[in-house]
Amino acid sequence: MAKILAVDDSASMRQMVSFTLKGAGHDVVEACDGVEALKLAKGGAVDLVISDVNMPNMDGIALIAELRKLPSYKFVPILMLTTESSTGKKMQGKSAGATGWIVKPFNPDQLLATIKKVL
Amino acid sequence: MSVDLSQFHQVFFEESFEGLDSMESALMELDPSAVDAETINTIFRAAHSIKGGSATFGFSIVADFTHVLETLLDEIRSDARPIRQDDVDLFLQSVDCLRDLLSALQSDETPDAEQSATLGKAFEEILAQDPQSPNYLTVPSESSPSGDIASRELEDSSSVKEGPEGAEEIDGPWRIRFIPGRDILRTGNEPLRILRELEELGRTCVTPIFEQVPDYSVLDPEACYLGFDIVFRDRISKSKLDEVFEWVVDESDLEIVLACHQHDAEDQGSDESGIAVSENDGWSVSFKPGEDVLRTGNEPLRIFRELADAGLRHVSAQVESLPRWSLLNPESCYLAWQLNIDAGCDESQIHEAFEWVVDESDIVVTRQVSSAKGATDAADSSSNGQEVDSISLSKSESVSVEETLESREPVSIAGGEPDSQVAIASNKSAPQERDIPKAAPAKKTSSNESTSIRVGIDKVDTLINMVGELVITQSMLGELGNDFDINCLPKLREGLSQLEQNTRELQESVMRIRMLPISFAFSRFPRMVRDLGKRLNKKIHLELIGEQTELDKTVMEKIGDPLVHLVRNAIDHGIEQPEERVEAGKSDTGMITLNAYHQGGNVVIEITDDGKGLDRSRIVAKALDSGMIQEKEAQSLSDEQVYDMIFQPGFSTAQEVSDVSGRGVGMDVVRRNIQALNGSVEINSTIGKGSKITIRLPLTLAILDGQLVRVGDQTYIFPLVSIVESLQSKDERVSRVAGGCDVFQLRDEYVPIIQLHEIFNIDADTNSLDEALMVVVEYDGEKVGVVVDDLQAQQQVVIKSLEQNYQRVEGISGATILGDGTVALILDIPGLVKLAGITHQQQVQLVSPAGSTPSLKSIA
Repeated sequence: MAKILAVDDSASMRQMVSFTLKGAGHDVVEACDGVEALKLAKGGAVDLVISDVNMPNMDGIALIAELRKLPSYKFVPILMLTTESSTGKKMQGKSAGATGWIVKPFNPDQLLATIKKVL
Repeated sequence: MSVDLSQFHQVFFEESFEGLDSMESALMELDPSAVDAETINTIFRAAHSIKGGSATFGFSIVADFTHVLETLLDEIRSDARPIRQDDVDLFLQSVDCLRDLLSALQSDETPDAEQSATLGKAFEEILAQDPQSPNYLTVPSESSPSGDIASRELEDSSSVKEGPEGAEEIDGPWRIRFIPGRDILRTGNEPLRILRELEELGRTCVTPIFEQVPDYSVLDPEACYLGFDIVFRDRISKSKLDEVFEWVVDESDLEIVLACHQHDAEDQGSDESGIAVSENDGWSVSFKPGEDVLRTGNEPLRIFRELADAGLRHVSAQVESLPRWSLLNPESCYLAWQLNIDAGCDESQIHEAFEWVVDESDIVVTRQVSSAKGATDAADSSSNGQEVDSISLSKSESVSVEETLESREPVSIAGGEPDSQVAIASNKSAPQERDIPKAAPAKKTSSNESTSIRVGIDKVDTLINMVGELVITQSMLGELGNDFDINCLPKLREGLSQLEQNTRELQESVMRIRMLPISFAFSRFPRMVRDLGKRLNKKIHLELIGEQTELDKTVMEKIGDPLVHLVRNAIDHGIEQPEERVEAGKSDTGMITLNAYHQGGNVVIEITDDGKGLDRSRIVAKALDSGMIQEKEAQSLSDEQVYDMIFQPGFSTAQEVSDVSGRGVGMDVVRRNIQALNGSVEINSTIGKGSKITIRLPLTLAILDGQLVRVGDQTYIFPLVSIVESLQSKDERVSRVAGGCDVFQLRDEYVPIIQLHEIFNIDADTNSLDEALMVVVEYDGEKVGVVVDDLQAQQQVVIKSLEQNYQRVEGISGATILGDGTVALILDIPGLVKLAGITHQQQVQLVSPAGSTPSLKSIA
């Protein structure tokens, strides 16, 4: 069981991610944008961060960059949720320090299979 | 695990409509001549969210449409394309279109694809135009090839990815040379995780490449210096392998080629372990955790504990990797272990135990076979660190070991040089074989679940508020105490009363946290009743009343099973078959009502059915049969007493034992469970009309509002909620009934009197009723007067279980400790009535003045 921070501005996606992960026995913390996520991440260590890219206030890329600046998030896996059209985003994310990505749309099984790679 | 995505649809629709609303208002605001980045972003995000959600939840028509929309918006957002007024109009149209599509989907209708297709085409046309062309802003014109390519690219990116996968042939074995980039760890990618993933795809054989590992002194602990030479021995398509390295391929040196047969030698080494399945005499695991293993929160000893269940026989620690003391980092793990595990253990179990650390550790699992061949192998491959292995193994009674390639050299992921590894004879952390507690982890999870409680944030807020006030009061009192003189007395009093109020409020808030609506317990019944009814071919209507009645969580958890039992009984034994019901002149649909409500300090749950009711004669017959009562007793028993017998152990009147109920193990357990909660259960039944089971439960198990009374030198506590009134008793109002059961005339009714000092056999101040006080309590709608010497304070008392600390005492529900440290007993009114009733049973039945029949009956 891992503690996972799920960041997405879309409530339905967040719920889906969160429900799936909880169903697999993980502890899930939800945040609706980068600012909230960063605050939560500073508040307590998590084992994995799954973040959407397009979000208000602070987007996923900025969040990743900010997280990597924190000593306790130096090596924590961070996955970003991207759409297939944003190949450029993947690269941006990588250079910000993303561990990997999950391509939208995905189903719960794909999500679980992917996070298994990093947990 | 399959997750039903439809449960998220509602949220998706709601947020999509919200998104469309904000998109619309942003579009209205948008001024093409002075585009505000944030406005565009808002529009883009809304479209993006709708696209992501609809694709995920399978609404492809919405997803396809928003995709084009998003693509265009993205270009505008990234300044690759200016926005024109026409575009804004088009966007607004698409908002309407999306709204229609989503509404249709929401109400399960087939959405009209025509509009979206037209709009989609319009967007594609825009995308096809070259934004750089000088007349783009003015003329909405024909497509130009360059723009076309750009949009194609975006459109097809998914199919490009799919393409080669399908086309490529499955081949193998593969040889992979993987030199991760130095910074790979900083992106959170752990090479060993990748290796693990490869392992899941097929058999692998990994040899680390150390060439790049620098000297200890210049080694950057955050950099990755290792490379890996991997032989993937199974057949697989190359794209599958590419996928594994997808996230790291850019910064790493990766080479995936078909392995030629010269690698056969390497293959063989581990192939043998694959053959040896049949003759496994045990497992030998060499486990060298990564130095950082502790920093990931993984504690090797915990792993051993887990393995203890799988039959861990022996653990020996290897200390050769320990550096000089001066170099030793207390947060690092330098030890390695050699484990011996019973043959009965499954390999997967072992892998599972190491699952979380396999990435950063060097783990070799081998089967120990008692063949001479294995021994030679081990001897052959022995070199520096290897010798230590075999020594430690021979100590642990093992005969031989098969080594796979990975363990030829002691591998440290941090790449420490062998020279710097000074052996220090210390195995303090090596666990002994049998002192490992078993099954601890599994238990922990299950108890975690049942002890958590979900609390509304408002309840927590009130609580925090309360605590704040308490702190203020406390500091006020503290201040007062620092410099106290008698003039401050009123202030002290005021402070204390404030403290009392704070404490009470705090307590109430805390209690509220534990209170849950009883619907938590009721919710399972509709389904259960339906299923059972179907199985028994009975038509049943279930009605739930008072679902919002709140009840302490602990009580709730414990009442669930008894309730299920009672409802099941009602369905199985109570409700008749439809034909029978019609014959009896009732509707063919049986009715079961669950009703919960508060009554005083209790929660009452009634289970009512309109079935055939309890058959007195059958119960009596059964009781006679089983020797529970004698023939002559049977006649004199009241209906209540007869019904009460079904709560006796081993009693069932069911003609046949069905799989639903009727084994006679239920009702006594039901009563015991309810009694354990300080509750009571009783049955009322009319033959042919149905039964009603009433369960009475205390609201909470912890605290009680009490009225302290004194009898002689003893203090007792009445639950305040049970008290109707307290009054001076007058001897003249007492009618003495033969046998000592007196009744008191309380205005228009007669109330039986219980003399507390008689029941508990203590000396009261007086035996004269004139001088005593009477507390009138109500129990089950009946009033009873309890004679006491004196009324004292009212206060809240914390209930301590008498059963746990002493033993169950009839008439007493618990005890508490008073302010002065003495113990006071809390009266259990129903029990008290029963206790008094037993003594006066005969008389009660003799004397029944017409007006007071019900109250007298209550003490029977």
